[in-house]
Parts: sequence; C-alpha cells; structure tokens
Amino acid sequence: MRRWFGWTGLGLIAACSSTTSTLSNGGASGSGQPPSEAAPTGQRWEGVVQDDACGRKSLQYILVDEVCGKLGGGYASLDLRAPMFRDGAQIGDHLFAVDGTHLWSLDTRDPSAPRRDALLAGLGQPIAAGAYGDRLLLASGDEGLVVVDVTDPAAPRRVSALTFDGPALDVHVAGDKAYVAAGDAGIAVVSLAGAAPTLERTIPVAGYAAAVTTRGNVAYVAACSTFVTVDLPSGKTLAQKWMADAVQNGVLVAPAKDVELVGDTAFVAAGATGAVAVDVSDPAAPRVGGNCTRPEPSFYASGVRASGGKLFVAGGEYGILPVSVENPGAACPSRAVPPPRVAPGASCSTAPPWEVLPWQETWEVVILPPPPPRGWDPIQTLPFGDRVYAFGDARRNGVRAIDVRAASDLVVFGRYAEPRRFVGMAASPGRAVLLGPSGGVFRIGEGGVATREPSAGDATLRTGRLATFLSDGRWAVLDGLTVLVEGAAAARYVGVSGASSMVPFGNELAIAAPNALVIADPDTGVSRRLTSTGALPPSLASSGGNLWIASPEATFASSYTGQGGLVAEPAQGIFDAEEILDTRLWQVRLPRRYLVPTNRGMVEVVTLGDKAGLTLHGESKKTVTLSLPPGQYVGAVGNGNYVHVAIIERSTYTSRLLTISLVNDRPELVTQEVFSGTAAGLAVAGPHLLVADGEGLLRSYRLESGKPVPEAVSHLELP
Amino acid sequence: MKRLPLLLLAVGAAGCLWRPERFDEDPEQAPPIRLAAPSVDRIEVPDWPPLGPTGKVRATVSDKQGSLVNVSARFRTTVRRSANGFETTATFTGMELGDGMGTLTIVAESRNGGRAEREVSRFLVDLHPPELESVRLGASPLLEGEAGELVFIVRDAWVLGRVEMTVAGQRFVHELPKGYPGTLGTTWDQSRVSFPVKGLPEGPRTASLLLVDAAGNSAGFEVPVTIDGTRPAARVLSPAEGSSVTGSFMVRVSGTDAGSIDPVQLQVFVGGTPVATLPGPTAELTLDSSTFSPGPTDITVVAVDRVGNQSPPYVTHVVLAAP
Repeated sequence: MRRWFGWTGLGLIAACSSTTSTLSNGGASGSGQPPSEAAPTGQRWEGVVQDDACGRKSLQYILVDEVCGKLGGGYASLDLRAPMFRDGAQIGDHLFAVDGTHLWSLDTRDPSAPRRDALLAGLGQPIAAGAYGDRLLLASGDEGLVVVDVTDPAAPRRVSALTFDGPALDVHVAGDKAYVAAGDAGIAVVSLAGAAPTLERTIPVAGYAAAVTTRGNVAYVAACSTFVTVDLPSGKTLAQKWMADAVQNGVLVAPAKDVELVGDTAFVAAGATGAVAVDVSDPAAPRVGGNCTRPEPSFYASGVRASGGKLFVAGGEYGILPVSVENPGAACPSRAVPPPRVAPGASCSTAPPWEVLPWQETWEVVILPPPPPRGWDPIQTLPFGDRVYAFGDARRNGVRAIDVRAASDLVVFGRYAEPRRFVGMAASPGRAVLLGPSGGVFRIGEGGVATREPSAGDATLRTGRLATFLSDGRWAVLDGLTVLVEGAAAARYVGVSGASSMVPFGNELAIAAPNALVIADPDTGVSRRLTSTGALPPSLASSGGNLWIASPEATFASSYTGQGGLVAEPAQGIFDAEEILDTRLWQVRLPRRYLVPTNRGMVEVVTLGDKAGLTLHGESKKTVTLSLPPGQYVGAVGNGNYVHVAIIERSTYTSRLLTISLVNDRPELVTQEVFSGTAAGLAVAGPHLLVADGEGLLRSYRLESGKPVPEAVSHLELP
Repeated sequence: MKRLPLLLLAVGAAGCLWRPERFDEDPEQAPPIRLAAPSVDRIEVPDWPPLGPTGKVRATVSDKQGSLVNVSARFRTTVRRSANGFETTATFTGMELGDGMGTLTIVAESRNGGRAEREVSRFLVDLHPPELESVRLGASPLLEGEAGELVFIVRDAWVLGRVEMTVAGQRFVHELPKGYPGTLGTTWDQSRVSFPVKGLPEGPRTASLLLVDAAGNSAGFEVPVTIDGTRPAARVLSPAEGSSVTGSFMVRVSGTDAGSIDPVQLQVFVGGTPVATLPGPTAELTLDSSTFSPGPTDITVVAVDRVGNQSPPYVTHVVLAAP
C-alpha cells in the first residue's frame, strides 16, 4: 500500500468551523476575522471598528439586523445575499414567492406538493409581495414597486414599476392604494386605480421604514428604531413610540421590522425581542406593552402575519411561534427583554504589570455558545385559509424552501424546495448519463436535443454519486460502495466511501476519495488501492496513459503511470503553501481543484477563498496561469484547446459558464454566460457542450471553434 | 491578619541560609533580621515606560559582614556583577536581561557562601519593535468611513506606543495612551490605526510609517498607497439603446477609471436584478432572454474601482422579446 499525500487537513477544517459562533442580535464574533458561518436568519454580520481599552481599536464582527442595521438607520441599498425565500402572495391557485432576485410561480392546487410553473428575473430585488386583483405587487428594493401581471401564472409579465427616494422594502395593499415602506424616504402612497400605478405622495417618518400596514386613515409603520403612527390624510406623524431599551451597547437589539394589526393591537416583529404588542386603540398615543418571544438563541422574529385568531411569528431558526390573538390586548402580557450584550472586557492600567493579575490567571478560555440547531428558518409567514406558508431561510441547508403547514397545529404537510433534479453527469459522443432524482441515460440528438432512453440502471443513476464513460463506451456509476457498469447484471463492490472523482484509466476505473485512491476492474471489482490523509475531495484525470490526482490541500498535483510511485508535478501557482494554511481563506470558501485533460496539456482549475485560477501544465513542466472570477466552482471539462468551467452563485440563483482558450498556450477567458438555476455538472458530447442543472434542464451548446453557442434546452425533469 | 515573611532557617554544608523570599508579598514589611547572610534590599523598576533595550533595573544589596562577592540578575539570561564591601547597587539593562515577561530574580552572594534572592513577578522587557499589517492601502477622499482612510493594524508583543505616517510631505501621528492593556502577557497588543486621506493629493504614493512601541523600539516601513478621488465611468456597449433582443443575447460592458490603473469591477443588472459582477475594463456575458420578464427593460452597469468609488449607473433601454 502506498501513500501519495500525507498531511492532515482535518485540523484546518476544525479550525475554520470553530472560529465563530452565531449569536442572537448584538452578539459578536470576537475574533476580528470575518465569520466563517452565515449569519442567522434575518441578520447579517457587520464589521464595526470598536474602541477598546487603552485607545486601541479593533474590528469586530457583530450581528445586526439585515434590514435595519446596527442602529436602525438601515442601508443605502439592498444587499440581501442569502439564498432564501423572503415572502409571497397567493393569487388564485398560485403562490408567487420571491427570493431577492427571482419570482417563483408555484402551483399550489395540491398544497402538499407545490409545483413550479415559472421562474423569472428582471423584477429588481423583490423581497416582499402583495396582491391587487390579478396583479402582483413586489417591493423590489432600488427598483421600487414592481407590478407584475400574473393572469397567466406560467408566464408572469412585468407591466410597470415606480421608484422612490428609498428602497422599497414592504408593500401593503388597502383598497385601490398600495403603501410602500421605503426606508429613509418614509412611506409611499401609491394609487393603483389607473392602468399604471402613480405615486400620490411620500410621507416622511422617523426612523427607517421597514414595513407598513394601515387601517382607515392611519398607517402603522415599523421603522427599525421606532414605531410610528401616521395620519394619512394630512401626512402628519401622530406618534412615535418604541421600547426604551431597544438599543444596548450601541446596537439596536429590538429592530421594528414588520407589523401586523389585530384589533387595537399592533404586533411588531422585533428580532430576538419577538412580537412586541403595541396598544394602538388611540393611534395618537400608542402604548408599548408586552412581547411574545422565546428564550432560545435561535429565535429571531422577522415577520408577523395573523389569521383566524392566530398570530404567526416567523422566528428564524426557531421556526414559527404561534400566538393566540383572540384577545389581542392580552396576547403578550409580559415583558421579556433579551439579556444585554456584554461589553468588551478589555481594561487599561497605568500600574506596572507586576501588580496586575498573575499570568496563569489571565489565561481564560472563552467558550462561545454553540450555534443554533439546524432547521428550516422562516423569515416570513403567509396564512392562507387552512394553511400557513413559511418562507424559509435555507442558508444552513443550502436551498431555498417554503414549508406548507396546517394553520391549526403548524404541522408541515407540504414543501417546495429549490430543485436539485440533477447532481452530476458524464457524457460520451452521442450520449449522456445524468445523476439525481431525474437521472437517466439520454441520447443527444440533432441540435443537441436530449431524449431519455429508459435503462435498467435508472434507479442507480437516480441515487448515484459519480458517473463516467469507460474506454469501451459503457457508462459506469458509483453508488455508495459499489460501481454499476452499463449492461452488468449487478453492481461490483469497490469499497471506497466519500469518493469525489471517477475516471477511466486504461481498461480500469480510477476512483478517488479524500483518503484513498482505488483502481478497479469495472467488471470484476478487483482493485488496488493507495491511501492518503487528505481531508478534501481530490480530483482525477487520465491522459496519455497517466493518471493525475490533485488534492485541494496541496499546491501540486501528482501523476501516476499505474506502476511505481507517484510523481509530483509543478505547483499550480494560484495559491502557495502558506496561503493554503490560511484559515481566513477557508472561511470564505473551501479549496477545490479540478483536473482537465486538454490538447495543450493538463489543466488545473483551482479555488481557495476568493481566489480562483487556471493553470496549464505545458511542455517541459512549464506552467502558465490565468486568474478566474471567484465563486463556487462545480465542474470543469476540456474540449481540445478549450476549457469550460461552471460556477454557481447561490445567493442570486444563477450559474456562470466560462470558456477559456488555451490557443498559443496562453490561457484567456473568451466567453461567459449567465443563466438562472444552479449548474450541477458539465460534459462534452461530441460537438456539444452539455450543462445539467438542478432545475432538471440540460443545456446544449454547439461548439464552434471551441466556443459554446447555445442551441437547445431540454426539460428532462421526471413527472 | 498581616502575614509574616517566610523566615525559615535551614542548616546545610554552607552554613545558615535564608530561604528566598518573595519581593511582592509585603513590601511594607521591614526586611527580616538577617544573621550571617547578604540581603537584596531594594529593586527599582520604572513604572513607565516598560523596560526597553536601554531601560535599567537597579538592585541594591548588602551584607553585614562586608563580604559581598557578586550580585546577579536572572531573567532570559543571567547577568553577574562583581561586588564587594557592605553594600552595592548594580544596574542591569533590558538588553542584557533579554526580551520577555516572567520572573526576574536578583541574587546577592557573599564570600562565605551566603546567598539571598528576591523575585519580581511578571517582569517585562521589550526588545522587539512593533509589526505592521496593511489593511487598506487605497482610499478615496469622496467616501466616508474606512473607505476614506488608509488602514493598518499595528501590533507589538508587549505595549504599543505610536504610529507616524508621512505621505506626500504630510505627517500624521497616532499616539496611543500610556498604559498597560489588560491583555498584556496573554495576547499581543494590537490596534487598528487609520489615517483619513481627505486633503492628500491623488495618485499613487509611498507612505513612510514609523512604528514605535512604548519601550522605544522602532521599525520603519515604506508602503505603496493610492489616493483615488476619481469616480470611474461605465458603459453598456451592446445591446444598443432601444434594440430588441431575444433568446441568447450578448451584453458587453466597459468601465474606465482615470484615477487608477487597476481594472474596475463591473456590476451588471437587468431589470434591476443583479446578474453578474465582471472584471473590467471590458467584459461580455451571454444572457438568456427567457430568464427575464419580457418587454421593455433596462440593462444597467455600474463600475466600482479598487478603493470603492462607484460610477453613476449607465442605463441602456432594450426590449426583451420572448423567444
């Protein structure tokens, strides 16, 4: 047994996963480094320069509300980058959900299994939705109030938009008017009576208008640092009132960010403070009462909606907090304020150090509280009849999701999640195998159109992890610890778990996992093995009788002829041995490498943190590099003198396809395409470049002089 | 209850010896009655500044029999001074003692084998200069907050002193207050130091930084910086204004920055939705019209330069036709 790579990356992983913690609003990462974890639902990490003792200053990352900011002043522009659904509106049989970049039209006739009819961008940055007849109104940040005709839910159409002096953050419809919370511009009153919406007036309010609702002639505004009532006919502020202890140690810990009226009580979503009940029986003299909250650190109220005598508080990672509001004035009788933030404990003394505490007593271990448990994380709710939609923050789970819950007991009975119909692929001239729930074998026909060919291996293809085509043209799929080869009666045990790459190697199969490289006969399963102490998924490629293997933790790749030992190839030159040990870069994005055989030599695509690049291993061990855009790289494939790379951007639900020319041995980025959806893999099938995505689509590009020209999109999702 | 100094008599081959006593146990207590041994009567360490290379510790020792032979200081290294007579004062410099924090032991010895020790706990000597980490070497006088400042992190193993920056003939001094931070001995003393660039001439410059710690150790650095108060400009090169596009269409954008030679980043929006951020000065990307709402829409590009200056949005109006 040989070892090809022998250092431990596990320590690095542990280091980067334990450097920060998610705390309730106002918590601090304390490390001075950008936090490695996404902020909890409804919040964001913000770097603030903090005055420490002795005149020192440091940068601390603290959790602040993602809309209201550190002190309730909001932000100049929207920058909501979490991959999550944020709100929705039900019109007829369809739920129209928004995620900050796209509109998702979901058929909810069967609420236990919502089905997507359309996905649309170009509507600004939609974060809140309302309905006006068969028109959908979107609060779309800097794009203002966007009106969408959803008469045909399969083809929504933007019909108009109205911008304001501040970002549109929330919309409330009453009669023929829409009221838009527009940040520091206040609230905008929009007439919907005409063909296009018209701005009647903008009413300035104190604070930063994050949400608004109305009743009669009064508007009730959740304005981050305060709660405001406004007389609509005159535009005058009737009153502003909020919790006295909303700001603690310079951070707004009770951000007023959503509002719902039930009877004479306004319930205001206020982060960890929960739903704050404000008696508005006299709108000119509102009285802040108790608050409904939970002591769990995972609870963070971002949205409030009520129906049928119940208030549904979207509590972030805690879930939904239901509150009976049959008697709204008594719904939240007590006052529970989150514990105050602990101020920095630094000190300063002019006394000499030998009069300070002994050395050993100053070594205190700071134990940060554990991150909240994983969960589906609603940031907003939408009661509709006997159901409640919970718009999910899926940042910890990696996908957008909407839970459909029974209004009576909040039991989940349906879910729509960002699709992952395909998770990987391989191709040969004329054929492709796609892995994932809609996986199968496909014939690539004229014009790049894919046609499903039922196969005995379909079940394995739908659960398989890796696929490739053998040198004799048969496909092979790794599923668990076994490999199934096309035409074989049964899968063969190869005994490698956590594999990340599989390629043909002569008449054999090479399979790499972080800790092992297995070379197996695909028909008999007889294998030989090399071991490693690596921790990250390595990449494999075979070219000219050599097998190349690259571990993300290393700066170099190794080649192997099948005999003797592995030979170290020149370093990739994108990051060096020192950078690979920098956990700050790991916190941004874990290192990844892809090996791609080309006519010009082996190519490596390398990423670490926000660095990405391509290295061409040319003749005489000479390497040439090219910087590439940062992102989450999901695959790379060679095509003669060209390399194609797929990157996904989860926050905007888009993917990018890059093509790099290697002509004259000078790598050059020649084309890039952006499309909606998350790419799952790419492969070259004869004259076609194929890109599979999570939506169940297979995009085909005709390769003209190496460059991809879009030719067909095949919808391959199984019913 | 007042503690009595440890006074234990031991009998050994060398005669009667006092067990070492602790300097800091009860400084007001008079030295114990000594029989036939020397004593360390006084140790003087300045309260401020912390001991640097030339800082001095003075130790006064005595012997009632007048037979002092030497006095030594034991820290990172042991430094010995010859002595004689009934009383002597020895001086030790920080450079002689070595860098660090720990226990300093002053030892007095007499010719007849008598010996006394006295300790200083958490004694500090700083011989190394501060270090510099550059955080933001480009700044814009147009921008607020740190985007309008040159930002550094300075750190010293023990106690920081001041930072001087000279750029374009202007000198800035950031003096840290005198005092020992509470983190002394547990972590390096560290501070973020920033200098606003308003009023400085634009362009690439060299900033000279002098870092001085509280003990007087210093280090100089030459750092290239950029003061860029010029907004970049952006353009949509294609599709053309008023054109109709369908299916896959190419968007070409460009950005220029008179204030810097570094390429700008180009943020591209379609219908207000961010679709990509691309490196300039020119970039192209292919989009699929079916991804977007059909009808009239805007393609907008904003250029952002390295220091954070943003161009005004450049908007091209097109009509997206359903494929």
